[in-house]
Amino acid sequence: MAKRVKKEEAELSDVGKLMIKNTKEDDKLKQEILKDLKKNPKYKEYFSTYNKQTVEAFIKNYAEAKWRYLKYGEMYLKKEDEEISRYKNRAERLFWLIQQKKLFNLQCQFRAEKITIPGIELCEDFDYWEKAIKTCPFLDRVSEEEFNLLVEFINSGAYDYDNDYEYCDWQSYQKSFGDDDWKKELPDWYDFFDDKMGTGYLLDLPDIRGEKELKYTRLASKQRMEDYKKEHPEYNPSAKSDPRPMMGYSDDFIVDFIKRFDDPVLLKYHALMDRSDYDDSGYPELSNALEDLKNAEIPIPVAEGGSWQEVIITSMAEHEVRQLNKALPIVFDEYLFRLDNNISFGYSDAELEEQTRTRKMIDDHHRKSVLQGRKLNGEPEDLNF
Amino acid sequence: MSEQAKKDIDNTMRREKVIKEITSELTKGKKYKKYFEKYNPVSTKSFIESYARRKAQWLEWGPNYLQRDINEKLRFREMASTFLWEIQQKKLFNLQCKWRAGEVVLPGIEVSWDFLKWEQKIKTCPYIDAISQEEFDLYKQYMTSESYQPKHFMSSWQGYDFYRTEYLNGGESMMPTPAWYVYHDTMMGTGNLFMLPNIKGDKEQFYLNLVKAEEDEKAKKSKGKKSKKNDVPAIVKAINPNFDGKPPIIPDYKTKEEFIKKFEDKTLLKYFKAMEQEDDTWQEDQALDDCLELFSYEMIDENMQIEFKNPDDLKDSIFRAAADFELTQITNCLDAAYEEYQMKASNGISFVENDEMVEFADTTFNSIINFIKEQILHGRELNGEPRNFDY
Repeated sequence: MAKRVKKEEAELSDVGKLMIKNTKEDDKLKQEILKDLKKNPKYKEYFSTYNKQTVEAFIKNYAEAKWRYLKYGEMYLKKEDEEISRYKNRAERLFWLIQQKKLFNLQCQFRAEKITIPGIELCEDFDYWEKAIKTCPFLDRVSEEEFNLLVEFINSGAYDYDNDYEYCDWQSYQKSFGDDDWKKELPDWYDFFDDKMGTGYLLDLPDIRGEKELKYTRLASKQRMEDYKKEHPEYNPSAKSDPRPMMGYSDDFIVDFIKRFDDPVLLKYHALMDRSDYDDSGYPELSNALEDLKNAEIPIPVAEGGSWQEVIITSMAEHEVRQLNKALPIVFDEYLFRLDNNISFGYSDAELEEQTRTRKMIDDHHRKSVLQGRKLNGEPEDLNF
Repeated sequence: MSEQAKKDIDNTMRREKVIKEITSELTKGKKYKKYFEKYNPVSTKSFIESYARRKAQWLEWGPNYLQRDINEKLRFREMASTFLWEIQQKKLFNLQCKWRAGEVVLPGIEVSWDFLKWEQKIKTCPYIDAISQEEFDLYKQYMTSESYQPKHFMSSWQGYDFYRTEYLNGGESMMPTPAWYVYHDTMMGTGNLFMLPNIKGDKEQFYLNLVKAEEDEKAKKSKGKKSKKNDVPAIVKAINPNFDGKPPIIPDYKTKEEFIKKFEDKTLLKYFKAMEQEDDTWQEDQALDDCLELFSYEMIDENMQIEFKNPDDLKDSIFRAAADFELTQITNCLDAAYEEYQMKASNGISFVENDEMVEFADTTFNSIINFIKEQILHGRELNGEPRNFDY
């Protein structure tokens, strides 16, 4: 019997094997917790003060709960951290965008070889300082005027409620890859800043330094490809790929396939089981808005809107702006206080890891490629170009 | 390994087998060949894998989802049928007022608590007539009026004392009078039933007080000799003779928190706090999700306009819009529910009460009432009267 089960298990798909492995591990932990609660003498006195039947039910319930805490607690803890002072944290993140824009403007000038910056040798070094913006040594302190500009931006129609400002690449400079369209991809905040401060011309400066680096990295890349081909003679990039279209997983494909080949009842099952809890189609901001609404401690005034989704999103967007207006001056005051009293700005462990990873990436790949390109071009293996 | 884990593993194995069969059918079946040939084979392989996994899930859970969907659609109709019995509750309540005043005698009703038992079994209550057209019309009028309010969760249908006090003294008690009762009394002038004397109720209280005085006296005498077992209130002993006298331990937020603080490390306490929300927060979040589900599917199907009626409070507006929708749906079903009721009543088809309600009324609740009856009879004895309910 056990042998047969083992054999059946061995024949399962990877997903199936993983599911069974998880079930076994989960069960083991649950059994250990149950055994501890039932047998460990430390609980005896406590449980003896309660009705026996309810103690049994409590142990079952608590064992299940404890297993959930141990399995998912760490994940929830991170989530909860994010929830603490939601708007204060958002205000803080937004505040540093002032410095990101100033750094980006310096990057434009550096690329045009209008300026040199001690510590910046390659364009990609800006990526590092993007991650370490709070301690970037070559940026002026945030001025009252710059701060007011950010507040103006938050209160303008240009500020986007659902734009996750945390995940933007603030120093991503895409000029080399296309025409003027790259400007349209820049963050709304940059457009707003340029419009008010007249710094838009920096985007039109030539990318001299970037193109030089690109020349070297291309040479290195070409060399790497040739090396690869030598090591892998079977590699044939010019072989024609299959010209037929790809199948997808979207609803269209699924529904079409069921209609053609399967039992129509599956259409009903699919419609009921694969639908979202609520209709957010066309409203990617809804889930964030709902999360904010659930966390709201005070009544939120109802905004105008067409659909119910729009009403919820707009109400929460307006609420966010109101809360940010309260939180931003506090953030600015704290910033000034730290500067005036030489108190350094801290980073979380995750931020520090990100900085290290970025630094390593720049050194291991970009810097190495540029130096290799220089050598291949018969030039000295340094960054003086 | 636990039985549950074994079951889970069996399910996984069975599901995987189904996936394998579907995959094999899709890969080898001739009828699909031409279709899949139109596409890049890398993508068809992924499609087949994904489709097989999803189809296995549809086959496993689809029937349940479908049933739930059907139940959901019947929900309002069933609620309308349940609501109809509120008419009978009010009629029984009026009868209770008259019984307490000694104006009527009802065979089988010995003490006022008996009315609480019939509240649980209203569909089979023998003391009230069938619902008339006039009574139904009045109820429907109430349901579609501004006066409608869902019954407060603390209020019971036959809870006489609170409602009478509220009627006579004004103000609102912790068990507010159901809005339907107020509406009925206003329209039908039945509020004056509260003015009738509560003769039976007062007598019951008189006898119970005698018993209480006797118990207090006994307790005074045996002070210091009490064992734990004797601490168990007599009513609890009457309901559950095997009760060990200890309080129950309930796995709620507070108890779990206390337990963790006492026995677990600080990390688990952090996990617990991050994962468990206090019940009311969790319930409110869940209720919000339910409202949006209602907006997304049912209200759209019914072409219902979603109105945000409280401009100062988005959450409240969402709850109200959902409640308004549900109420409209229920009132729309009232006529059909009454027709069904009439059809059953005129054909002598009996109305079946929810099993749990009947069980509760006939067991636990009955034990409580029997205990009270015994106390009253003892009170009668203490007063030198015969052991019966003829008072």
